[in-house]
Amino acid sequence: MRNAKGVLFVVFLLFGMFVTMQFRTVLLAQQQNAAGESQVQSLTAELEQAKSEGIKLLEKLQKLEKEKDEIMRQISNDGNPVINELLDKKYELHVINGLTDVRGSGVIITLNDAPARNEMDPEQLIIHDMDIVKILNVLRAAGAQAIAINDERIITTSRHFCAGPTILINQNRYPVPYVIKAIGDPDELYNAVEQNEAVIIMKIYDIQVDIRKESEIIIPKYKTYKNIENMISGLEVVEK
Amino acid sequence: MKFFKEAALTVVCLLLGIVIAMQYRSVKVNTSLAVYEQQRVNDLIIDLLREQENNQQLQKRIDELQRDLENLRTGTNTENETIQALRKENEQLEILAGLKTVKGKGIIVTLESTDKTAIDDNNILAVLNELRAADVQALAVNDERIIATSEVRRAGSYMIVNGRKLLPPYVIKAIADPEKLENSLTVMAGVVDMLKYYNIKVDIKKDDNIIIPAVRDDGTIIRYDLLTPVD
Repeated sequence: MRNAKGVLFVVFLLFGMFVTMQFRTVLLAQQQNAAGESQVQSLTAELEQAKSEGIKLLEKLQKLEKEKDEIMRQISNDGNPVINELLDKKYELHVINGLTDVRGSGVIITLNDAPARNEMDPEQLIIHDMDIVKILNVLRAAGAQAIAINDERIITTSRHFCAGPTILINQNRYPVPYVIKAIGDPDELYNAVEQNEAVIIMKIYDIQVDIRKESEIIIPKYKTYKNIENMISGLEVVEK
Repeated sequence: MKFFKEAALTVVCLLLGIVIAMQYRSVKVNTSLAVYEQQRVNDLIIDLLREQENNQQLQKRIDELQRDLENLRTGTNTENETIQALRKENEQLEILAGLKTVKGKGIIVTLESTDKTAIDDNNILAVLNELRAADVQALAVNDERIIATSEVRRAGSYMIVNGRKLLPPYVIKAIADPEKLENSLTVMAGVVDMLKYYNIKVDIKKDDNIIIPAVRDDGTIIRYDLLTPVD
């Protein structure tokens, strides 16, 4: 009988300790969550502000560039045709480099993760970076002349890779759906994507792939605009 | 009486068990929540720093443009200087477009199949994508310059890039900003493991004098006849 009392004592002691511990953990977790939440909120607000400031700066920059070109045209019209020739060349190079908004016909591909299902590995339900890489490659092979993902223009050195549930393109993060726009021959682009092995496999896994031909698509210019020097800082021209 | 005591003990022990399980689960959930929260905070900080740097550069460019405008308006710049400046700008745009042969520091990645199977285009695409993620500025596969519209397609035992046939081994050259070169090497180390799985031998070496040829400018690779500029 003494024994039973002893056991009971120990059990209640433990019980009391656990209740206290549980209480404290919950309290602590709530505090931590609140701290983390407010940090996330203030960072998000700061990021939004930096982004909107960036948009304003870019608009100002573009306005100034236009103004500068106009003055130069004027000078050229006043008797120096070389300047106009150089300006025309500049515009052409801007188009080649994806630094101009462009319009044309082509296809719009919309990709969305497969609906969640329990019996499958979630890894197979989401879109991976290689899926995007393969689709871009198919579009290029089919003669696409301008490509954008979620309106981020793809240029030579555009980075695009998945980071969890989002994709990072030109250093900007986007959640699904991913909208790939490509200007080129609509039929060729459509058929190439439709028949592509990677796309067929994605469809088997129920990843939502919607391909549409469009007669008018606008693809915006490369937005992460820094000065060109930064983009070619490691390159030295070799004269041949 | 004995039965009652035993029953009480059972109930108490049962409760204790439940409480322990609850405690364990809540600690686990809290830890994973904390990790997720931290990840979000980290992502946000990275995004914010990048955005701020971008804005600084925009501001710098705006200041430059304002100076240029002032000089143009007041006629401080002679027409010759204006022409020189435009020529320089166009040359930079040509470098960016891959129209110039360039030299610089970078890495050379060589892919070679260790069995008889041909290397798949996906493996080359993966390497190119990783290199882009590491901020490289010029890329080539077997000296075929990779530009925005370059495709990489396997056709039998060889590869087609920019419409041209390339034979293995595939030598991928990348020039990067020297400050960011280490990034490229670190990133590539991860890809090597992946490629090993496909029986591909990967050789990575740093080189201070990489030359990457200009893209063939015969109107077949750089095409923009279907693009109408929008104002």
